[in-house]
Amino acid sequence: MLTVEQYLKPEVIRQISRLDLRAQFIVKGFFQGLHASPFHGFSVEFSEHRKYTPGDNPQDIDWLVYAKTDKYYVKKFEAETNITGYLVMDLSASMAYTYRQELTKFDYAICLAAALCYLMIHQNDPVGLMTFDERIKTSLPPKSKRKQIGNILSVLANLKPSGPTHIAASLDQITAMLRHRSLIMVFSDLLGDPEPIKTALRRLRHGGHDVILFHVLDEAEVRFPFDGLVEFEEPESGERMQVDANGFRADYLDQIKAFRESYRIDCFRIGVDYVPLDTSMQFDRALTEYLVRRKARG
Amino acid sequence: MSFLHASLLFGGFFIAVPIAIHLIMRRQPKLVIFPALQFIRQKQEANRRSLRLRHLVLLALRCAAIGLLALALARPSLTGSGVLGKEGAPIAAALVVDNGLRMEYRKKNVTRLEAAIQLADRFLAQLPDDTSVVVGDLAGGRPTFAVDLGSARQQVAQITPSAATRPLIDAVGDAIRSLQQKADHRKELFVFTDLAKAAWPDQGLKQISEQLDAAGDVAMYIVDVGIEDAVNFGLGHISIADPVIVPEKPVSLRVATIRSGPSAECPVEFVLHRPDAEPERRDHRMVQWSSDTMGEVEFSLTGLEYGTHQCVIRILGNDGLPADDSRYFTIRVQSPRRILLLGESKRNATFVETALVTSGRYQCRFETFGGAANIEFDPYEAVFLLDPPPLPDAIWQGLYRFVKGGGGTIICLGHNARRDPLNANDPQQLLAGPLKRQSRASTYLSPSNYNHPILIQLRPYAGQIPWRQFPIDKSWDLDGLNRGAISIVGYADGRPALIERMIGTGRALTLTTPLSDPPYVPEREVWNYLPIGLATEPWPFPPFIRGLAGHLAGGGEERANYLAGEIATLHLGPEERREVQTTGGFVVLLPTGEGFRRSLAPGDNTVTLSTTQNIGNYRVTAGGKAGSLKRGFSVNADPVISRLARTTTNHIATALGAKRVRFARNADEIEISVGLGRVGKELYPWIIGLVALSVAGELLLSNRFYREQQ
Repeated sequence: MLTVEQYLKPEVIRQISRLDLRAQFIVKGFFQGLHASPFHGFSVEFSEHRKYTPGDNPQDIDWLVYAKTDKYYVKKFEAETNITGYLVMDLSASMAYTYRQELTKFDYAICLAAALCYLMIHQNDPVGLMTFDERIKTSLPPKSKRKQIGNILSVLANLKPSGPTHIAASLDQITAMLRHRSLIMVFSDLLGDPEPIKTALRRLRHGGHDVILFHVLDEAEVRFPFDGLVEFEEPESGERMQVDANGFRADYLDQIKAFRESYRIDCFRIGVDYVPLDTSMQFDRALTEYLVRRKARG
Repeated sequence: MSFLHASLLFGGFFIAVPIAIHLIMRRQPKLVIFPALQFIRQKQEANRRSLRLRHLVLLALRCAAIGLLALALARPSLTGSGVLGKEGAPIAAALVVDNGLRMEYRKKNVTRLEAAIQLADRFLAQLPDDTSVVVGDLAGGRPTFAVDLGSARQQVAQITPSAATRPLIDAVGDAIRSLQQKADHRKELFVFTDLAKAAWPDQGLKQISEQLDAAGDVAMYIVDVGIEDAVNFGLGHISIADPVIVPEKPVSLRVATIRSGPSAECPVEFVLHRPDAEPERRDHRMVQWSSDTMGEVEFSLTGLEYGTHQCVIRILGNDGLPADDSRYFTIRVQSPRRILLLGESKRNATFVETALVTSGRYQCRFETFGGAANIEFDPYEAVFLLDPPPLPDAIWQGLYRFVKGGGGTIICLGHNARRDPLNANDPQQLLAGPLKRQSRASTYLSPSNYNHPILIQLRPYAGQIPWRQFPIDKSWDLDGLNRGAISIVGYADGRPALIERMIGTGRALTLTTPLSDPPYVPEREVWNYLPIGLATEPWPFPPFIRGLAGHLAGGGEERANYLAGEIATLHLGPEERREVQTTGGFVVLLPTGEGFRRSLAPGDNTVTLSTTQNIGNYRVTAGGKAGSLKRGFSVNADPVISRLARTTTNHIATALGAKRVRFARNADEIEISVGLGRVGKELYPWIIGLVALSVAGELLLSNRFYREQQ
């Protein structure tokens, strides 16, 4: 019988067809795992009181309890502020890629986005959705009602990645659209010229938004599991290239590592949370990243 | 490099197949959709070069695999015998078995010859049926091809040791010539030998090398059946210290000793054999033999009377080679032959008389032509007429009677001769022909055949006699030869110089130039320089004169000791000749104890025997115990058989060419050596190894290259 934690694994989630169930399973699995994880205390539903000890933030002291008991108690993890989140989905054709014919990058991103949506609505955080290819295609305004989960999930379930993309322009468009400080969660494989994208991220950050960049790559794109003579075709441009995969693997891995490292360094500089993912990784990594960010905002 | 199946090299054209595949049917790589192409693009050029290089390496490996396979199937070989151009052709094999007495050396109860015959037979048994085989040894002449392999094996089995052998080099040369008759065959020569240094002289090796060069395609295999570090006692040549043997005077005999191996002592005995009597041991002593050197032992023989005496010197005990343990010897003690020299003056007979008297075998008396009328010729065995002038008929008639009765005479014509008187009836009964004129053609003697008894002593030096240094400026031309006259020695211009006529039981010689001219005569020209020569020692003159005297008088300076295979000659004196004619022939007793009877042609006074293959003492008798012919001679093996020192295979290989000759010591080595010689050092295993490596490399590379995508 499957344990709840196993729902964090993409290969298990893949077997569930309904996106809402996928999101629930991911979130439940995530919280189940938290009990035994170093992230214990990130609960957003349960608020507890404990004795104040020196070193605690004095702002956390619950003065009502002090009034009743004459003792200092601190309240922990009670959500007091609302954070407006935007799920930004890349609709490029390359996002539809899967080497092992399991979860595509887009499927993985959707699962993750749905789980985050589920989680945020539970926190009473308003959450909205934007999708883009060469420009913004879909935009759902953020709401914190439970009904919003259904709206977002229904849009996500009907998305089809196709055609070329222009990430930098789309991000610039989002920057221009948003008036209030928000948490922007971008799901993309970032396969494009990195410099304009980084510039766009910088602008987004400059607009006062918190940005989490979920860099979703396929397992094959990270590990390059090919052997022998292979002809590769780029899905967006149709360009082809013949390669001796064995001889090229080391070079490729160096390239992809350098690519991710450059994003990591640049994102760190501009204050963007860069989360490198691949389709073989568990979903909790992405959720944890969200919670850390939310706590920082709190 | 050569190839056993050169035609299979055409298989190399299949290299075109992988090239065609490479050019036309290049395998398509698997198509994979991959979005992250931008990371590949950056290394695209380096990747393309690497890809092309790998394609070429793969192509090269495939071509190499096919090419090498074709090469391997063609069976290439290194250092072959060079006869591979005739693969599939039948073999012509010549086997030369050294059957000299040295091959009787016995070790582990097997003689070298027996070992050689066993190996040769075993080798013949392995040959294909269509092989042409010629079997030769040192005793026979040029061999002929056997009818089939069976008869060749019989020939090999019948080879026996022989004392009368020719040099191994000659037998090898004959075998090469026999092989050359088989033009379309693969020619192989096998020599079974003990590798004795004496059998493979440097000059002989050079000769074989030249013959192999001339033959071109003969592969030579030397099968070594010899023994390293052979140990042997051997007796060599016997010599007599004193040239003149006088009755009752002790004779000193020296025999050479030849030792192979460490120094040792061994007893030697000296036995005298008398006809109709038990052998008499005259001496017996312990002799010290020095390590691997030659020595000498001296024996003294006393109490010899007139007649023929035979003896044997023998090593007592056993050693590896019994053939050289005994040495036989014959001594003839005889009264000097009486020769009458008739000349113009004593001075004219000086040269001839000196040549005869110094041999100790002749007693000469000089008489002038003026005193010849009162002389009885009968007490003499021969009469020399040295440049006779016209003589009274009575002298010619007396001389004719003397010759007819068994005597011998030589008439040397010179400046005293006159044509008409000498062309009269009585002189012409003795002379070779009527005199025609004096010839002033400057010439010299030019004998064509040294086997005649007169020249037999010169035969060993036949090629080195400087006859040109003894010019003849004047001579008599004869107007044809009388009936029965035969020219024995001619001039260089072809005219007869020395002519022989058989008259009754005697013989008369005519020499058309004198033997008596002094070096300088003031009143006339000197006819020739035969006795003194020009700027050279006149060493051929004495043996020539003694040959004449021996031929005319009988029992002259003849040999009584021969090597096996030589022709033995005995000159009979008038008395012995009469005995032979009276009894109708003579008996020859061989060392084996067997005997045979022979007769003498009328007028012939020389016994010639070629049956000298057996080693030992031979006796020639006529008239039984009371008969006057009791002669004999001895036959020994060539002392070279005692020289057991071996040459080396390297030395022979260097002389003949390492690629042309191969060596073997036993049947297995023969097989390997012949295999190597026929097909060379096979490269097949190495090339197959390379094929395997190429195929493995190709598989590895192509698997890595075209691995199926999971």
